[in-house]
Formats: sequence, C-alpha cells, structure tokens
Amino acid sequence: MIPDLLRLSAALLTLIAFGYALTRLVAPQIAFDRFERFGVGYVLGTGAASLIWILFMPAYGVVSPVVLISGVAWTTVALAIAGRRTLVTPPRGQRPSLALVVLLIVAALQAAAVMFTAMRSELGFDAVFNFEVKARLAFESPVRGQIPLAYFSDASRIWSHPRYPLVVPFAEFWLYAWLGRADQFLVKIIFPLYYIALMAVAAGAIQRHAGRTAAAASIVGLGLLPAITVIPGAISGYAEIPLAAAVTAAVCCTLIGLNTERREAFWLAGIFAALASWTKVEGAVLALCLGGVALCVAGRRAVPILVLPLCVIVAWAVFQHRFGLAEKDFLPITPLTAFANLDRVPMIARMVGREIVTPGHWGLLWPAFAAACALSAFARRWSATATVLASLVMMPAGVYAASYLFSSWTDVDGHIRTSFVRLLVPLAPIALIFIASTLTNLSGEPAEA
Amino acid sequence: MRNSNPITQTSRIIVIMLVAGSLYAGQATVRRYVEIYRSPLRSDVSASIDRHLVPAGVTAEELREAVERAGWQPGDDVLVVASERPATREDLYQVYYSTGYLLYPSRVDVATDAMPAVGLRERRVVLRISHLGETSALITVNR
Repeated sequence: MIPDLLRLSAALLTLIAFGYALTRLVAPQIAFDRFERFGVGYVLGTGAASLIWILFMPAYGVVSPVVLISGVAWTTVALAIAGRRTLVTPPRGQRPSLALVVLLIVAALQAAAVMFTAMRSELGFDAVFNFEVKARLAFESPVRGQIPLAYFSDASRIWSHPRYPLVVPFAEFWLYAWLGRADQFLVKIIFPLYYIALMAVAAGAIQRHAGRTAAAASIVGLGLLPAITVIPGAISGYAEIPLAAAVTAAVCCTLIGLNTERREAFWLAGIFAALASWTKVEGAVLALCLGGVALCVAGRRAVPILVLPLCVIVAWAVFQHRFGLAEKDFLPITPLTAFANLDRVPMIARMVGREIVTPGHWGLLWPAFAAACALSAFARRWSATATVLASLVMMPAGVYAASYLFSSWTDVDGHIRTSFVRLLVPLAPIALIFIASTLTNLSGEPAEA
Repeated sequence: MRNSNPITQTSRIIVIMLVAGSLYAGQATVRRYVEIYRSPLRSDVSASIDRHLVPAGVTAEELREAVERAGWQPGDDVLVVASERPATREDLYQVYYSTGYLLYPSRVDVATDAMPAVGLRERRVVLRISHLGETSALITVNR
C-alpha cells in the first residue's frame, strides 16, 4: 500500500508542479493566493499533460509516456525556477472574523467528506463506460499509452462515446501508468482533487469581487448541492466537475484581465478555455461563448480566449472526421431539423424549467441568479464583469436547451432528464460568482480585504 | 431608512434564498453520504466494473479467465445473449457494455433469444446471461 501511495503522490505532484510552473511562466504577475494557485495548478497541469500525451502518442513505442510527460513537466518546473520570476501574491488581509473561520472549517469538512465518500463509492455508469474505458484501453494497449486508432471507428463500442475529449481518460491513465495496473479504487482520488480545485478557483474569483467571507460562504453553499457533490458531481467520476473547474478558472482569469488589463491574464484564460473544450464536448460551447463575450467586452486583447480553444476544437474535429464515427445522439444541425422538431419546444421548456427550480438538485441557485440579474438591470448597474458572467450562464443554457431540438433519441424527455442537470454543473459556480459580485456591487460597499 | 431601499431588501431576499435553498439541498447530499458510509467498502481494483457484471453473475476477472480458458482469440466477435425472459433492459445493456469494456479488441454485440443480433460476421462466442437469481450465468463457446 505504501509504494502505491508513493507512486500516486508522485503522479499527482508531477501534474500539480507542472501546472504551477506553467502558471509561473505564462502569468507570473497574476495575484493568485496559495489555495487558488493549487486549483489553477492542478487543472492546468492535468490538462496540459493530457495534450502532451495525445500529441506524443506515436512516440510511445520508443519512450514510455510516463518518462516523456514527466520529463516535459519537470523540465518546465526547472525553467520556471531558473527564470526567477517573482510571483505576485495578494496582500494579506485583516485578521479573519469568527464567521470566516467557521465557514472555512465547514468548507474543509465538506472537502474531507467528498474525499471520503468518493473513495468509498464506485465510479458511476458513465464514468466507467465513457471515460475510464479509454484510460484502460490506453493502459492495456500493446503499446502502453496509445489508444488504438481502430477504437475511434469501432461501431460496436459507440456507446463509449469515442468522440468525447480526453482530459479525464488521460488523468486516469496517468495514475494507472504510475501504479502499474488499472485500479478503479485509487483512480477515484482524481475527482475530489478536481472538486477542491473548483472550490479554490471559485473562491478566488469571489474573494476578488465580494471579499473573503462571501467567498467562503459561497463554496460552502456549492458544497451542499447534490449536483456538485454526488451525481453528476465530484464523487461520481464524471467529467462535469473537471469541466467546471477549467471553465471557472477561465472565467476567473478573464475577469482578472478585464479588471487589470493584463494581457497575460487573457492568455491564461485562453489556455483554460482550451482545456475546457478538451474536457467535454459542451466545454467547446462554454469556451466559444466566453471567447465571444470577452471579445465584445475587452476587444482584441481577448483574442486568445477565442483562438486557443478553437485550435483544440478544430484539431479534434478534424481527427474525428478522419478517424471517428458520426455523432449518434444528435441529428444533423440544420434549420430543417429545427423546424421539423419545433413541436418539442413546449416539452423542452417544461423540463428545463422544472430542472432549474428543483431545490433538491440546486437549492434556489437559479431563481436567485434570475433575481440578481433582474435586480442588476433594475438598478442599471451592469459592469463588464457582470456582462461576462451573466452571458456565460445564459448563452450556454440557451444553446443547451435548443440542442434538444436536434436530439436523435426517440425518448427526448429521457435525453433531457439524464443530461440537462449535468450541463448546469459548470454554470453553477459562474452563477454564484455573478450573484456575489452583483450583490457587493449593489450594496456600494467595497469588498473586504 | 436603509431597510426600505428596495435594492437592499431584494439583495437580502436573494441571500436568504441562497442560504435556505443550500440547506434544503444539503439534506440530500448528507443523506447520500450516510448511505455510502453505511455501504460496504469495495477497494478492489475492479470494483466498479464488477458491479455492472452482477446480472451475469461473473466478475471481470472470471470473465477474462473464462475467455482465456476457452481459447477465444482477440478479435473474435462476441455476442451477449439474454435468455427469453432476461433481466431488465438496463441489466442486459450493463452486461453488454461491460463485455465490450473487458474484451477489446473483440467486436461485441447484444441480443436476446427472441431477437438475434445482426451485423456480426460470425457468432463465435456467446456470453449468456440469465435472469438474476434464477439460473447462474453460462459462458460458453459457440463454434
């Protein structure tokens, strides 16, 4: 057990150090706090390593992926250290209030509970058959680390969604490669760490706009929502929490770019947006919406937020076109299909409406978001921050709802019932950041240090 | 005076909504945590895939060993067949997916006795699943 834990620690440390070093090289002037830096490092390190994994796949007959990726990661760490670029850290705030201390203890207990229950429960259905299957294929492949090209066009395994992007399968393969075996017990450690990373980046963003107490209260609130913690949340092994962490990090960097006008923040936001589109298909929708809104609000400085994800989306689409199978869950996206299925609109509206007011999934987050939008409009206090955040919730939600017009399922309401709750997961932290920043803005009080 | 400000009042209502909603939703989270805590810990390396093979009454390791013993070649087509009164459709597909998961690169298809599969070149292998609890699963080679 101890050698396993050492290998596991080495595998995770390599990813976190890689991400930390990349942040230090790309954006040393951004003032992340330590907790936030862990979250950014974990998401960035895992995502960047997964891109290296896929790019160097043809080389694994010669060199092991563990050696190659670790080599790149630790060389980057060495470069970051040799660069001697001093990291900017946020100024120390006032002494924490009792409320803040209590909230932080509760948030830490929540993270511990997520870790404990994740390790006690099994991977969910889609976690095994959509993601972990690819990690196992890469691990058990005759050339370890390569997903066989034939898999992407294997019609008998279309249920495993060969078109899905590969961040989560990479993270799982990475642990298997270090452990020397496919282990469905230890691999679950990935997901609570993504949960902690999500909380770290969300708290960092809220802290900058609404103060520390609001940030701590918000992550405690998020940690109570079953959709974030249970299914399809952090203990299930699904890709929603990794996607939420990447998108929230992209939004966080975009807001820093808007407020400080630092170009490097937009670059980092672009990298996270690219990683979001490399985590799940709907990450592409989120990345393009973020890029579009940022471009409208910040102008040309925000170009990386659109261009970097587009590079990933186009490359993966070309690969799928060349080697993959056609999408099976959706009909061709044409105006004709949309018109033919217009009769679905009332049903889609009813089911989407029901989901967003289901308190057992979301508390009253979405009604509160709607109320905050209305309040902000009533008070005529829309900042650039509010525009980005509100758009990044409403635009993708609209796209997702409209996408069911193209569903190829005979049971369309089943499609909505099983998928819409998941689509909302990455939007929830953004909605919470919007609410916190809007209420602080409207109160007229500066955010506490 | 300050309390009468509609913006402040609405802000407070929003905060109350968030707190009350989170506490309500938190009950479901805690309930699920307790259920998981009370369930037995499965820490073996194939715990998750074994759960999906329960309707067939085999574990991942047993299935792979049976395939190896039977001398099936990698790439043999595999057919998962349910008896006439199979377990639920969900169970059938669970076993079908699990077989496809474990037996790569074999092409795997699914059928019931009443509804044979189409599209396979040759039925070389049958993994027969019967109704959970009625009969034990059979793994046979159909050559």
